[in-house]
Amino acid sequence: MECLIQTENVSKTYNARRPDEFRALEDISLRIGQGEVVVLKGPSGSGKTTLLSLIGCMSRPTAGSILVAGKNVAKLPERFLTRTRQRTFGFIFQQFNLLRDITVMENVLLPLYPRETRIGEMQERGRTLLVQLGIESKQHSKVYQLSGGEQQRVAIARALINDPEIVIADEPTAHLDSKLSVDLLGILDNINRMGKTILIATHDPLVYEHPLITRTISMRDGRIEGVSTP
Amino acid sequence: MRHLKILEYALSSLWRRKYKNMAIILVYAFTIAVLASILFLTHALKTEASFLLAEAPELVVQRVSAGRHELIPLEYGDRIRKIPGVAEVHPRFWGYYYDALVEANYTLLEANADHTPLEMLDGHLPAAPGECAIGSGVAAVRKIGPGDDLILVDSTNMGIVFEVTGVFRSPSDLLTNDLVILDRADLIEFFGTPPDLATDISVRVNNPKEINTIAEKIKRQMPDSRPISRSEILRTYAAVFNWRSGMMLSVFAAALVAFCILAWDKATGISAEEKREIGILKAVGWETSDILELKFWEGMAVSLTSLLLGLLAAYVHVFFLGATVLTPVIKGWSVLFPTFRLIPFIDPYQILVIGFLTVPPYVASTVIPSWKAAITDPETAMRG
Amino acid sequence: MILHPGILALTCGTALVLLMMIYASALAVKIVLRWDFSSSSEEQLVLERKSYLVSTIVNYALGFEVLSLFLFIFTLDEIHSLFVGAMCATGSLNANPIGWYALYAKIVAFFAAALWIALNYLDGKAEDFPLVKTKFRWLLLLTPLIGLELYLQVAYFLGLHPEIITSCCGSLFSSAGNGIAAELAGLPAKSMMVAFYAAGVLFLLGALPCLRRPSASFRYLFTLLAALFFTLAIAAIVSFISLYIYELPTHHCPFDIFQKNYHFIGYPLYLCLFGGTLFGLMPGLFQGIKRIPSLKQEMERMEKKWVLLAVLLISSFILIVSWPILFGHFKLADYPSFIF
Repeated sequence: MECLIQTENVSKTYNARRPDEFRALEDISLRIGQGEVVVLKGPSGSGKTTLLSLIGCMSRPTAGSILVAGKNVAKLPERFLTRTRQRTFGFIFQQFNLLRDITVMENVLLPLYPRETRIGEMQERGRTLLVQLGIESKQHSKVYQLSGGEQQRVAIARALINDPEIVIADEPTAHLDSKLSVDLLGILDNINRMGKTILIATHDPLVYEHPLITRTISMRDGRIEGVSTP
Repeated sequence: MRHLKILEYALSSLWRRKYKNMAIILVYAFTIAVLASILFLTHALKTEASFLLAEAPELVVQRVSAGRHELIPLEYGDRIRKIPGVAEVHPRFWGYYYDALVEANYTLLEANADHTPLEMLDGHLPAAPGECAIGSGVAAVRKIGPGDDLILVDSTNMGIVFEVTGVFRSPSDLLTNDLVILDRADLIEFFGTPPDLATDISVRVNNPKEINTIAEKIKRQMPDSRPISRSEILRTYAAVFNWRSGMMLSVFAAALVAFCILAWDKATGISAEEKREIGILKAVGWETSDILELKFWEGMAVSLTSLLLGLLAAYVHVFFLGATVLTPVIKGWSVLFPTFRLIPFIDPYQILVIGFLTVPPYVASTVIPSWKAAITDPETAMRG
Repeated sequence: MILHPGILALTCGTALVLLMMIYASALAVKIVLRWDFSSSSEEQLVLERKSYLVSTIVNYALGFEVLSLFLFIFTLDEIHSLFVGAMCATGSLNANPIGWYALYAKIVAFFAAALWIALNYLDGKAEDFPLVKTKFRWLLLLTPLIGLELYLQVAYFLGLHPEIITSCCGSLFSSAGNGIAAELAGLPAKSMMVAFYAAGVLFLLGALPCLRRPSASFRYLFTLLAALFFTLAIAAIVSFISLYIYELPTHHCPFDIFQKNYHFIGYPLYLCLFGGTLFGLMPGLFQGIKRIPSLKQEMERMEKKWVLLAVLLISSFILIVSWPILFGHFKLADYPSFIF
């Protein structure tokens, strides 16, 4: 199995050398292979989200190295971090993070605006995804007119619009009831079948006990506590 | 492609926050309208003045005594006529008249003066003693028209009756508004001008390039004379108008500063909603420079919309409403007030100047706030 | 001093740009002193983000410089009627010779700002910020230049007294006058023409080895030729190109060609000349950057583009100015006294 993400002794300290110094992550080393579905499990404040944002090229670590598809992103300037993020990752956020007063289609296409994709092609891709996710009829609705489950699907469509290799989901079931959570896992399963690597942070047993998961990494106080493979 | 899409997004984002943006656009447009009104008005007056002065004699010779304008001996005219290069010499008679009845100043001018533009006259110029032609301003304040009588009080305090034979049409304005044109003999008698003196002398020159030379010769031969060339008058007009509009602009700069503070404040106080939006954009792959570009397009759209609205408002204000708000300040010297329509114009230079006066301050007051917004950490989207 | 709206706009605008540039320079000093790319500290991140602000400000400043060049010339054209004998912008400039220096300062500021933005662009192409210190040090030179520009501009406008009798373009650029401008006009048109076209051909030929060979000396030569061509082109516009455009053997003014009477030909003409010169200057000036490993490849790619752009723009310029010479009604040969 090809290694897609590799972190080596990664630490992240906020407000370094100040009284409110906070060590969010310490000495994290892990490898994630292509096609894996990995869960980061742990109570809130254990550093799951911080680790996701470091791997997802949203911020840089204080120490250590992070290789994404063989490229060290730990020292990249913001511009290149963003570029890597744009091309490699799709994000599903805890509270969907959709813009409420624009249409579903516009939300889905957001990541493509600053790229050179032609508008026609963008819309073609958006429509295909919305069809796959079964919310094509809603493409011209405003987000605030949608139900929670539909919003979740819009968020997923947006995460997939740039055809990422890796999908990162942060507490994706936090705002969903169990039926919708099961639906979501079904969708993630499909995404995984498309060959995408999935990285989920959660403390919802429904997620980390799902057969889809290839590996569970438990975290506590910014450290890895243990790794289990079902 | 990328830039177009960001522009499209900027426009739709402005539209989404239309009420908030409307407020800033209205204030911005108002500031621009004020500045543009000043520029339009002075520019229109300036063109108008030069347009009318084009008909004025190339050279006017006055006599100066004790530093004041004095009546000039007719004999000076004969001496000027002898200077080589001089084509024609005409003594002119004119003066001011204060009408206590309506508290206004009129300019009294002799008829048949070669320089009076006639196309704008309803009726005809006085052809016989006892007749007069008046400007539309005079007609309005005295409530008279062709066929009516105009009574003026002469230098011996006698009321003299003139029959109005013509009224100047209002579009011809600055110079005719307060005019009363009388027969030459009537005028001389009215003012009690001594027979061998005139108010000043107009001179036509064969070769316009020689005006300055001839003016010099006149000055040398008659040291108490003051030759004034048309271009000098034009230049003075231009300088006065420039100065006035510059002054007014400096005064209204305060309005601009106030607007910048507002713009700064609006740009700094971005709502939580907007902050969240930028966080999301950055999280889904927008770069800092993309957000800066977004903000640039937003600023451009706001500026250009306001510029257009402001220019339009100023255009209507100056050319259709007669600059009602500003005229008292700019034209101030005249008591009898012309209510003429200015000739509308669109001058790219004026628009460029207005743009230069108003857009850079707006850009400067929003650049730091937009940068602050642009560096929003993408991680904030994860933290919620 | 004339309180003219255009003058007010220029002065306030330049002052505003200077203020922003001073602020940017203060940030630049901080960045140069504290920059440590190897550090992962939050301070470093803050500095990186501040560098965005600095480049945004300089971008706006460049935009202002370009537009203000036009506004400056148009304003001169507007106020020429205030000066006895002034017939166009040139007359206004002669009313107070500092105006010429203000104009030169504006042109230099334009090139400097444009070059800085190019440098900034290159820096953004590499993943290790190789040019940060260099570019922010150069910025510290750009700011005083804008300050100088403001000073000269204000000194020029303050020194303008509408009463002063100035020579109009006719007499300024006529061969009888003295001063630099008159010297340009007095240059014999025929030899000037030969020099101009020779420099043009040399410049275009100089592009060939730059596209084929990697040697640095060809780039330096190309840049030198660009500078030479720019100077000669300006001289040529005053000396003979203007004559063909105006179709008058005595009208040498380089600004009137912006006017409608001449079909606004001045805009594409100067755009091509300035743009072409800018791209012509870059290969030589930025030669040192090739030594930076992370930029070497990018530089080689960009350099080809610059050379091609310079060739394209300068050839367009030569075409535009040659058109009236080849196909216009006006023939300088009809006025033998002006040729030699």
